[in-house]
Amino acid sequence: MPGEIILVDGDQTDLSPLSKYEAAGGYAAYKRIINGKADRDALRDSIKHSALRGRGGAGFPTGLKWGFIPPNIKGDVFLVCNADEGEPGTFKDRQIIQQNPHSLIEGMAIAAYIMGATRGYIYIHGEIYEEYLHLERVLEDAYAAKLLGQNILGSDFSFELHAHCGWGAYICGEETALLESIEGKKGQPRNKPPFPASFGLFGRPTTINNVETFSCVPYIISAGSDKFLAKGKPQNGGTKIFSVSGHVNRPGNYEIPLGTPFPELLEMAGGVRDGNQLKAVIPGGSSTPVLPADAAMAMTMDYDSISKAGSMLGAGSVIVMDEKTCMVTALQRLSLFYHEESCGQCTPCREGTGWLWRMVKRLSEGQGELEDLDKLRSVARNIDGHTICALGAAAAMPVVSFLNHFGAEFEHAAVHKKLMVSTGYGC
Amino acid sequence: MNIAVTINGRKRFVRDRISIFEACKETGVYIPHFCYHPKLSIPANCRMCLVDVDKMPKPVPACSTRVTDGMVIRTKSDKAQAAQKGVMEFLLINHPLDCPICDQGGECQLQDLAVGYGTSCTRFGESKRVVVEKQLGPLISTAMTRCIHCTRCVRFGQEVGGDMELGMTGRGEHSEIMPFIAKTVDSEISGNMIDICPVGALNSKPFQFSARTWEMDRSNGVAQHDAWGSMIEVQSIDGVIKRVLPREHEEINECWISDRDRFGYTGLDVKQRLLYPHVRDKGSVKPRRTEWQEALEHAVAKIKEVCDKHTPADIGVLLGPNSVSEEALLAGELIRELGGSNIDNRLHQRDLSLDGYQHGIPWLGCSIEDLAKLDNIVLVGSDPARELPLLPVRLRRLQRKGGLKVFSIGATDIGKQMQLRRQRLAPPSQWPHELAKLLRVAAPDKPLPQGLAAEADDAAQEDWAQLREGRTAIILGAEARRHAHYSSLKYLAHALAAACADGFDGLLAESSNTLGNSLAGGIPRYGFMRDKAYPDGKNARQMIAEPRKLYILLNCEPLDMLEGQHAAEIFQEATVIHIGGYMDAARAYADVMLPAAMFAERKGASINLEGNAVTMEEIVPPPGEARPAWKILRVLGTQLGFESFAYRDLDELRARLIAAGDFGKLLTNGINEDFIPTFEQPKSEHEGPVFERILNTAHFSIDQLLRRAEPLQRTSIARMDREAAMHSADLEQLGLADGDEAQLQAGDGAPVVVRMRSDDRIARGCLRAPWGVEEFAPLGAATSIQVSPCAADSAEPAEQAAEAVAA
Repeated sequence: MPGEIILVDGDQTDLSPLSKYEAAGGYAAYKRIINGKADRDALRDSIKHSALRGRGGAGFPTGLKWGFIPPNIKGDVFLVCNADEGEPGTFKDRQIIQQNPHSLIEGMAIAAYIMGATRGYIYIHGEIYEEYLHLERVLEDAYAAKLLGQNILGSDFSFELHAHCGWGAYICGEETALLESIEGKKGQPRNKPPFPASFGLFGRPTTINNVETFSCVPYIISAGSDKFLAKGKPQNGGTKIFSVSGHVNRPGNYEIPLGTPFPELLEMAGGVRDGNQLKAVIPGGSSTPVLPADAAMAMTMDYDSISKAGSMLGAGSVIVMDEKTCMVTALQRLSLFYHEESCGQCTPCREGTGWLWRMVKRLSEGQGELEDLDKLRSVARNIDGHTICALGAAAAMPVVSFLNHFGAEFEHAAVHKKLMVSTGYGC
Repeated sequence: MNIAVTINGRKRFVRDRISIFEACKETGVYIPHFCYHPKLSIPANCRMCLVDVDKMPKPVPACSTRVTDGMVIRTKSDKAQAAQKGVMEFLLINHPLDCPICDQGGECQLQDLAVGYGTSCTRFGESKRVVVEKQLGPLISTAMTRCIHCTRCVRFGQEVGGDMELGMTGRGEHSEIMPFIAKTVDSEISGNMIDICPVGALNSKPFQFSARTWEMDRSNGVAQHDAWGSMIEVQSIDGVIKRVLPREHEEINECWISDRDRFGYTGLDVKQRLLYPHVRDKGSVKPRRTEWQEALEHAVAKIKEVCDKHTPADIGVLLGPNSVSEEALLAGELIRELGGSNIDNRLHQRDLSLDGYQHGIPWLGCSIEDLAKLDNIVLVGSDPARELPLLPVRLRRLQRKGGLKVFSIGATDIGKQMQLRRQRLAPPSQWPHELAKLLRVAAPDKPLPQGLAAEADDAAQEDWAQLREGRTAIILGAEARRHAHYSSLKYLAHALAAACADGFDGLLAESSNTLGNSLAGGIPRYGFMRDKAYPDGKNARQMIAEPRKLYILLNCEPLDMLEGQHAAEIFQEATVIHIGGYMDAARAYADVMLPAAMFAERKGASINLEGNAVTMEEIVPPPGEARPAWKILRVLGTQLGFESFAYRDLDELRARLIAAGDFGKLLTNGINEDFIPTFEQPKSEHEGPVFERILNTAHFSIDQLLRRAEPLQRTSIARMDREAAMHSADLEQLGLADGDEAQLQAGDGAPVVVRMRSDDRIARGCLRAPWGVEEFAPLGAATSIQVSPCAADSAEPAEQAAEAVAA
């Protein structure tokens, strides 16, 4: 397999036993740093140089983010791992936790060393409870091996790491809602600014990163940032795990270098099911705009190229749809998800997501009107960018992109009161 | 520092570090909003205030975005308006739009803004959300379908009320504002949630469906039910008060009022109201309705009879808590013209031994606003939320903003109301010791009250280190004022304040016009403005301890007195001229009942606890044949032949008050330097467990009006005040559980059987059995109460309970 930074041997090797992880060279970089009292700035520079970008969806340069924590700060600095993997189409974090959890722990510990964090939390989505239990066991091993806790390996560096299981709310994957949830409050996003780097968990400076982001860190430190960068494209360093789902023959997680052409990824996943034609691809998880087949086949899998194609890499959750998919029904299902998961704090999302879903539902049931199409666009526009967090935009973007690329199907549903494609899921 | 911003194309200089919203407000640009409230935190959740800012790709919420130098703000650009209109549409799609039947209609923020930002017809064709009503108690009505989830009420509870009683549960469209399970909104200032609700979701229950906002006359007034002196607006139609709202006054009540002040008016129009003069004929039990002429002649004859047969000293005048200064002035002059001086308004004060040693009328010691200058405040014997509901609101605000440190000595744990640096939780008899401990550290040479011994402890050392620095106030609350050793507490507080680098002591006045009544001559030892001394005047306690032949009760009922039941018995023996608002209690003892105007039915001047003198006009006419009490007193005086009573109208009378000049110098907490009080440790003479009674009054029973305000009497605060309460551990020791019935007895007095409630905020060894309610009136003034479980074989109460359940 081409990637092998995190998912060694694809999904064949289980590195969760500590001995196996250490045998594969794990914790060597961490121990070297601790014992050698490595220079924090140099470490951060190497992360910067590696062009590692946040794997959670926004793609923000990680090295830059880590620089936001004020140095030599008095009191606690927190490090939070966002493992609240709740977006439809995403399933990479659970596999990392299942098969290579120590890379996450080591990555967080190194990050903690760089930023002077004293305490870390891994917030796990409530629907992947087995992974939470598994991670608790792995954390116990790490504590037992004195890789976590007070005065790690006899040095003056201390780092306490806790796993925290959420209850499955999608909104708790939003970083500030996640912080609220850890604090024991209702998971609702905060207004920004202030950003978590200055006012985060319990009001302390906090850095939040995705599981995959942290898991890349040990490789960058041990193999060097150049090697990591070389795996991808400039500005898009390293490999990325793509969770391919939908109408492919071999759905699953594929770790490939950033910049790999999409057709190659599709081939790895066994191609479209039953030899059908590709119809559409959602490249980054349900909240990113859908792309029609020709645009998808032309893009390479990296942040910049996908963005040029009109969508986002997001969390790398590739949802493949073949010609038998009814786009109205697909959008109805997506809109229902956002309607259900809106936290209800701010007006446009609370009121608008339900409205969107009901309109699409009417269309899919043959009770829509042609004017609903304009109304859908207009309501989506009124939500997008007017909310506290990005959930509003996430609900609006699929609507607009589905209408843009597959407007004919919606018009057909509105005019003929029945669906154009009626062979796929839900039809 | 000012920075330059451009708002809608005009360059403006605004303060740095303020929000776009504030900057626009200050420069006269209106931004639509719902969740923003100047007194609450900024959640930016309604999204109505989105504005267009240069270099920002998306519109930003004006309320939570700070201005920066050179910022270009457009509140009316296409982008801003599109955002605002979009949000307005979202707010309206699930709103029922039932304005014609909504009490908020006409004063509704959503309605107003919908005119500017809404469209004339809807695009929303789906079915609307319906939300189940919530039961929030007898004061707040709900129509939760109208709620727009601005969370003002939630934040009010968390930030202003000090107790989160409402929260938003559910997610997305299923979000609902609701109280905790099986709980209602029980704060003392809950009515403010009605005001801050921008839509008709929370409305006033007593006001419900009774008037439209545009029909009502609005008049300014002053609240009457505590000494805070909140500014209010009285709204009425055709001479009937429909509701009372706060009037903004930043220095005093900000924009809040207590529920007592908001809903007290509901006691005005009740069937117990005394509408016509009544006299009781000799030998008759039932009073007879009569004309004013006869009633006044009857009253004059009674007064003359007592003066002739006995002495003027056999007449006592008691001023109740609703009296205004003019009434106190005339009442004082009446008794003094007669040749006596038995008049008092301090009906709850137990220890009056300081009379004659005080330099003036005790008051707060500074203005309410100047509380902001304090570094430390020591509350002695005060449950602030119950006593002066707006005091904890103010203190919490000061704590949030400036780190005011609060110390407390009391019998009730007030730690939930505000952060306390130290709380000395002790039965009332121990308070002098607790204060003395501090004084031992602060001024070891200062003599303690005779008979009091105390040694400094570590906590006192620590507290004193804090208190001596900065500005410190030592404030005596209602429970200290009613304390058997008030003089000792006052002496200790005064001495302690004097030892501070910059300290003063103060007193939380008893009622809305305690200061005014005392200044106007409503105290036994001094006349109007303390001009003359009358050393023979008997105070309220003495008038009950040594019964008089004739009492003139002005707005005063037995329940206003310390010895409720005993006073009622004495009144029955004596001749009583009752000038007041109600006849239900008075008909049992009054020989002449003269109906008096109350609250907004009469003009009057009052002075609040900080010495702020305000006047109130007659807003609605008195019902029936009721007349302002000052007129009644004036006619009585004229008929008794006193020439000085020839006032033509209230303005002439008020001119006398004003001509007396500055009363500020008479408000002082000073006491004679050589005064050293005597302290006697109370001795228990009875066997069995004896509990110290907490010296509080039932929250909604502090005056005649509130006791008849039916919605207030149905609140859970009022319900709990009619039950006795003590610490759960004490209850357990007595073999009682929460909700059991127990027998309370003071000495050999009549036993009282009540339900016991467990309340761990109460200090061990204390019993909460408030004054002001009928239930505990038989306990009289007693402070040591024996509590015993009701014997199981006494079937009577059990039967009654069973009957009640069956009913």
